[in-house]
Amino acid sequence: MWHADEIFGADDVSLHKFTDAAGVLRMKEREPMRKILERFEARFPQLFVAIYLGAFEDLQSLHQFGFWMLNRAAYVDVDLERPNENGILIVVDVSAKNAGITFGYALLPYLDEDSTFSALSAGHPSFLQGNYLEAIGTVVQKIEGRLIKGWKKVKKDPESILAEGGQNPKKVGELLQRIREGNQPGGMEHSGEEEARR
Amino acid sequence: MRFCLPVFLSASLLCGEEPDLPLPTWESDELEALESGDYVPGSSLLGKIARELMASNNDEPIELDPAVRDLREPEPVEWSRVIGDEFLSAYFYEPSQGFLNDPQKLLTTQEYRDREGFLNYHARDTDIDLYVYLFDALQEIPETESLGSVVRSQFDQEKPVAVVFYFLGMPEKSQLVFSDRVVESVNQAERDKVIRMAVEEALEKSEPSSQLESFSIQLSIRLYWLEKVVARGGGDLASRKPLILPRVRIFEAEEKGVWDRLQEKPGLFYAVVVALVIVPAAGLGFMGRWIAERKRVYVFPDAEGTPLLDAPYAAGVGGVISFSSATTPPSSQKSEVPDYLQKM
Repeated sequence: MWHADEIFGADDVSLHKFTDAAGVLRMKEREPMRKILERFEARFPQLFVAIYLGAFEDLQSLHQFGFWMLNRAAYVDVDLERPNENGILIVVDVSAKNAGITFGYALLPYLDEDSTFSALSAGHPSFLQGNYLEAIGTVVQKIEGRLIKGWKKVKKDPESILAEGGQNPKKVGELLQRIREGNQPGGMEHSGEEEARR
Repeated sequence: MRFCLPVFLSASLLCGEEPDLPLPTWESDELEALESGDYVPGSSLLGKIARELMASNNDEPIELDPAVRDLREPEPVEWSRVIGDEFLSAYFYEPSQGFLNDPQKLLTTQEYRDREGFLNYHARDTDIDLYVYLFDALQEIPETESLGSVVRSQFDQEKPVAVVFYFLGMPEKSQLVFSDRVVESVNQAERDKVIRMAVEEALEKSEPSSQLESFSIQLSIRLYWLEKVVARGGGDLASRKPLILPRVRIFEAEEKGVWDRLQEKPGLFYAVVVALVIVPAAGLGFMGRWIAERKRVYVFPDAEGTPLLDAPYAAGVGGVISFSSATTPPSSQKSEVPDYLQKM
């Protein structure tokens, strides 16, 4: 993390979950994009998707940037019930023509490099045409499908599926204690960082 | 030896060695007469007058003998429309000797045997016996007689019988009457259809005996189906018991629809019922499930883990794709992940 902080900065950054820094989306495409994100949040009340469209001049690694952004970004329009560890960040470098996905700890049991690459591949034709709205809509839809599959698996065997992602089921007593302490339910150990998002 | 000769001849022909066939030769006296002009080849075919004219070298036209010239053309014989008295009893007063009644011998012996054989076969195969009375084309039934009276007087009304008056060469004049047993079981429309279709079939042919053949075959077919119609209505023409179903129900049976036919085949019937019920139900089920899935909310179990790489929220390594080339497939544009971002 410190390496990424050295490159991009160690301070938290305040962002909207949809950021078109490259300015590639037309005004009329912003509303459909917002609906894509809202629909996702309605289906997955613990999760959120953030989009960052940038035009980087000399970005060495989109992976590294996504990793850094999801750890440092404070999304002002995301509920407290959805911490960054439950987030999925889609970063598109419209200059270098790269797109990448980074996801939080809570999603480790359900997503991996292959599944996210597969989702990006589904949007590849639209990315090629510069139709970013359609491309991101396709990618999000594919991610939804993957998450639903993961949800079905974890329902049957929570412990082993969570363990595959390096996670453990949170104990109820501990959860209550955390709620009493003022932390959000459903989150992970790192709820203290939420304040940084603000 | 019997097979050797054709083989030898065939072989000779194939080899082009035709046997030397002798040409006809003149007799010496005939040859002399021919050369002297006394003999004209083919003159034996000419009549006496023509030979004399030819011998006299006279080119004048031949005058016909007035007796020959005034010969009248024979007047066409008008066929009698009246049935000879000697045949009336065979037609109207005596029971038919067989299924084909032809006292005037209008059919040749062979035609008669063929038609009678067919009617016998029909009688063996079906319940409604078919009797055919043959008349000449222009003959007319005496006013005092009728087909109905023949059927009533000569046939058992309790048996299923069809009697036809057939006019050889004019099938459209044909008449058909059923015994009471059939009349009670089959409605008028269906009975009329039998004779109508047989006549139509007969008129397809031009030769009278062929017309009779087509007529009797079609009539036999229609009678067979008539039995089927009665059987579907629960009746049995062969039995002497009264029919179970009243005529209204028979009519309904005749008008059976696709549904009734399906019910007669249980396997197909249940398959159709299942398809009609299950397919829409499955369609509705899938649609309902699709709607429910769209509105479904997915809540994952709460979990906790150890932070990696000193990163507070995310160390998940996702995919990166390049879309700089339209010709290179996505799998070839997969960016490598730096080692330090791999999950530990």
